[in-house]
Amino acid sequence: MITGKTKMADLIHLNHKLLPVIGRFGISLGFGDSTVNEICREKGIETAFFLEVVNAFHDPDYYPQENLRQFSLQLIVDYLRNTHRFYLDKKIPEIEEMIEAMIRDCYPGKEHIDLIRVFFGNYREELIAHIEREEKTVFPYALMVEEAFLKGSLTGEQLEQIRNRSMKEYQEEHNDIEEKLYDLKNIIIKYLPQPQDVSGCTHILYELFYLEQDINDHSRIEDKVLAPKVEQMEKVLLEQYPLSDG
Amino acid sequence: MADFTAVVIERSYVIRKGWTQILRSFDEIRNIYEFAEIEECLPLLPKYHPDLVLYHSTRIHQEIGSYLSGKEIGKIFWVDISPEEHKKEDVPEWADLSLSPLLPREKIRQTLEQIMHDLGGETDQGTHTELSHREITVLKLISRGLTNKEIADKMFISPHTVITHRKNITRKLGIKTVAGLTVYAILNKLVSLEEIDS
Repeated sequence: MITGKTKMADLIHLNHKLLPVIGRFGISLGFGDSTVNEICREKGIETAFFLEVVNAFHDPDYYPQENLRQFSLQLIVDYLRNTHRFYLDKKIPEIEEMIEAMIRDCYPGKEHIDLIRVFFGNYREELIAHIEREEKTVFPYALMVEEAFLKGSLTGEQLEQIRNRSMKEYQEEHNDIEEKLYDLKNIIIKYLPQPQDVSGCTHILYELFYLEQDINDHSRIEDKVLAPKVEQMEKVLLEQYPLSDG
Repeated sequence: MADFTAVVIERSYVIRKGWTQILRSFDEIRNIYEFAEIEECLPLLPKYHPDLVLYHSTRIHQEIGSYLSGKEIGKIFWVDISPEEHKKEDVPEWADLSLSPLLPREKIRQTLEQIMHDLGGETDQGTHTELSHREITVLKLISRGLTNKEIADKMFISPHTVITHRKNITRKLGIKTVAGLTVYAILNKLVSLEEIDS
């Protein structure tokens, strides 16, 4: 497990996939022998939160700390929003550019690559819709629950919202964006007539595997860090305001 | 290749890791999710759509059943991994099978292989991925955007049969979504772009 005393350099040696994660916290390389504690203090990052994210990311089996007040949900939501931006503003355009480059490079099967372009475009639209749903409904709901929890009071409207739609239900909504990514990989690996220069496809595949992994880890932070905290708060709130009141 | 999702629910960290390690050695299993308690796991089941759940508890099935009733969730194969040596008739009501961690290694492997076989239907016919004529017809109609009901009407078969064909197509090709199947159909000249646009 990664702790405050772990050296930041060791953390990267332990799992280099944490590189983009620390990047999202605004931490850049060149940290010498500084520990997580030291760097977080220097950058004004809540250490408890940082540790929860890197541990959840690094260990699929990690269980978050119980302490609800340890850090604000706002931090988690901000982090998740940053990750969304990373996908939409960086990763997706990068992959699109790779596909465009393959079409430009006069590869004989242009029309095949064009199919991949259209398919990826669809995937992007779905990812955007999914992200918007989270940012416009799930995150505001989570923050509302936290606000009520910290205040220890609840308006009738808020109570109604919690009773009607709990965090559990938000989580259960299934979507097929994961499946689309899986299909795209398989189409390129198994069925796409390959050009003479295979490096284009290899790069795209590499990026798709990376994106898939990162999105899975991102979902795990929603499932294992955000959702359990909101659910515990819901439980406390509903115990304070039993159904007979309404 | 089959593409199963497995969930391991086991309080003991060491035993849980052991099960995960064993499951990981099966090519048929793509995703494995681990939980210590069933309460953490239940809300996520509809999302993960597992094919196989390893669970170890003497708790009764009603709890699980009443939680999952009405939720959109496919058939799950429940395996009881309580450490007691179960006799065949001692399989708890909620489970399809008992598999004690105290069994010898070969026995555990054989049982899991049997489960993969049962789950996968025809998968052990190996790499056989040729689509049948009927499946190709269904695939063409899927790519033209027809619904299961419309395909059933057109082919004079039941919607249930259409679903079976679709499952087999997905299993053979490794493609799950309509958009993906459409790309496959175009690449293999089963449909033309014009047909899809119309």
